[in-house]
Amino acid sequence: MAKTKSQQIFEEELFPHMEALKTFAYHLTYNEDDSDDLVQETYLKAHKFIENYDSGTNAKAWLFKILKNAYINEYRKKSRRPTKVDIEDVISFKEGEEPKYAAFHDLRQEIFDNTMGDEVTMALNSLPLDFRTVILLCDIESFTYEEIAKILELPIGTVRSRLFRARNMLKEKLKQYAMKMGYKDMRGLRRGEYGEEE
Amino acid sequence: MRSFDSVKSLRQQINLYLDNELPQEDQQHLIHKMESDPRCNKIFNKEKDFRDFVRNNVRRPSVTPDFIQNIKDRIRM
Repeated sequence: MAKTKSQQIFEEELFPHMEALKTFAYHLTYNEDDSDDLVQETYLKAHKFIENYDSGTNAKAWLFKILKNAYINEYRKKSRRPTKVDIEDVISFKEGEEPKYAAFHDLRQEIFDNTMGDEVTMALNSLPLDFRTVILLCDIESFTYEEIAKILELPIGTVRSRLFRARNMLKEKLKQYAMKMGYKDMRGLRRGEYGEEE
Repeated sequence: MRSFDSVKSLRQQINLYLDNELPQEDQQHLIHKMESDPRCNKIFNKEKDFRDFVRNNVRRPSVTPDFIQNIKDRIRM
């Protein structure tokens, strides 16, 4: 039996992004069961609103926007683990404000030379949702700023500044894990022209 | 064209470059700076290493064939 146009779109354009959607959903919901539900919900909504999708356009961005909206509207309130937000994170989240993390712009090379897979996931998942999301979309899924702006419905300038801040926060979280593992805090060493540690 | 008057400014430019979001003119300026200043190049490499490290170590749960089939069944494919 010949495939319908809708079936063809799902097979060729929408299903290939299932793994990426699962990763995004997992880091939003923090657990496998909820992320499976969220991915399934995303495809059900895509099926319901397939008439709104123009074949051959940006299927991945379309699916990610559906998933993000489904999460915000339905899953966030029943997420099994609440988002952990440090009060300092909230206080420093003002556009143009120098974050407290600015001094921690480097991770020591030793961190990169050792296995910290679980720590990366824990550190990422400990970021407030707005910051975690931009890291996932840009650094993990390689969306452009313009695509991220459309998915999150934010100005591009906000995406840019939020990403910079989010990366600083992630570095700080990873540095904390590294110090727990016994690595020394090397801040305060001689600084070069740009203020970086030498 | 931006000048790099602080490490923050330099890192912002490097991040934009790595994100393919830096205007062409600023790209040339940054590349020239990295070629001529080892400290600038060092910061660039650290930023790049950090991204690679996160991308390579973040957990990516797999989807099972049963899960895929279940979705197909739900939308009757």
